[in-house]
Amino acid sequence: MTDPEQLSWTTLNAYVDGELKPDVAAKVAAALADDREAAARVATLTKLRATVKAASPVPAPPPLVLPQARPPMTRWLPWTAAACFALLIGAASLGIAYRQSPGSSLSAAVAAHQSWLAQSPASAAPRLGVELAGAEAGALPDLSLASLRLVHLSLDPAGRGGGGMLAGYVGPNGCRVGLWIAPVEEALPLHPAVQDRDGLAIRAWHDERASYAVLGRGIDAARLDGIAALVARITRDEPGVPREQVAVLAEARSVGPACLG
Amino acid sequence: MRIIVERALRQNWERLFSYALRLSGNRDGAADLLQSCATKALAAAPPEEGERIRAWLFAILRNTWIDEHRRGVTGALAAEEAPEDESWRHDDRLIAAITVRQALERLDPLHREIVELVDLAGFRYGEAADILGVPVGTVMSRLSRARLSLLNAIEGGAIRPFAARQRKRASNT
Repeated sequence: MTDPEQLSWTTLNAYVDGELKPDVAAKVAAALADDREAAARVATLTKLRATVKAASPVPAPPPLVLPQARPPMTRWLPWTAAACFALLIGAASLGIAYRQSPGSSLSAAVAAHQSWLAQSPASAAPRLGVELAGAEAGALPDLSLASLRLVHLSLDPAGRGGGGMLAGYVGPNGCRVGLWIAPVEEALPLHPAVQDRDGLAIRAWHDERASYAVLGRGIDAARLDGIAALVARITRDEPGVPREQVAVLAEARSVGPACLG
Repeated sequence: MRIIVERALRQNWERLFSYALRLSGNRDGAADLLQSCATKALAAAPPEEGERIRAWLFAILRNTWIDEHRRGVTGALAAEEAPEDESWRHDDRLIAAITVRQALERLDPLHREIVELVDLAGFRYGEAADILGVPVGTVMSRLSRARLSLLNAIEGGAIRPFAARQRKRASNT
């Protein structure tokens, strides 16, 4: 007598898929010879499997674009960035804080960003590199969550309070976004706020260590908001990035129009 | 390590996209999901056994989707039983590309997913179990239930292959 489980629907599926152990499969095959209905089920399953494959063409995928490994040329960038960042933070912590209108610091930011935009996109060489032994790598925000890669650094050491630094990031489509970091300027708000001027979209703010401005030309406002929020979070050393924030960044990247810069 | 993962991504790009499409339901969502999967895979250490890399990539894709879109839902899917054997009433002649395609569209997402993994991506039960994070027994019962649903959907579909329709009409007269 045949065990009912031996020819159950689930077992027959596993039989057709070749998932049964050889001895079990042999018993099922022997039992099928005496059970026409079970044999009919196997025939149906076999036909169903083959037809599912034939009826489901593989959809054309998007081009394979793998995230780039850090190019050897830019290996020094984190160290230089760390050095610049340390200089600025050091100046700020010594109490050399600005007491001026936000416009003056942003003017320097705008000038640095426009100077960078004026360079050809291929020119990734920094205008001024500073390297300090023992500097902590990675002091500049990693904006890979916003699909931005650090490619440029320029330092304006002549400004008051230690000047400022522009870190240039580039997106997957060549869009250039600048992050200006300067000593604390209390006239700026505590959270990223719109400070658009001179044809640039700008979000600026300050915390207890420095002032920040994120700049872009022709960039989607929602994307710039998302980038500024990400920078603010990272520079405040807040652990992790909420999924909602990641989703907003991804949505702004896919929905917004291409940036002009 | 990166080279190994890159190669696996290239080899499975189409099938990963197909799976992403099944999960997300639209091309843009699938493309984003695939990109997130690639980024995570390249940043992680792949399994040492080369044959497990493919399933590992699919698991990353699925976990990324759950993290972003379906957090909290998976628990509700845990309790599954094998389908009851019922009297056999399916007509093989109705199984054709057009009826199967329509039936797949109507299939429950959970069932469509297991069909995608086993029948289309060609994973063994054990690999599918790893990807889904369930026991092999659950894969067996889920797949058998999915195929039964597929047959029922084919049976209940409005469109029938011409030949079968003709035969059915002839048998009714």
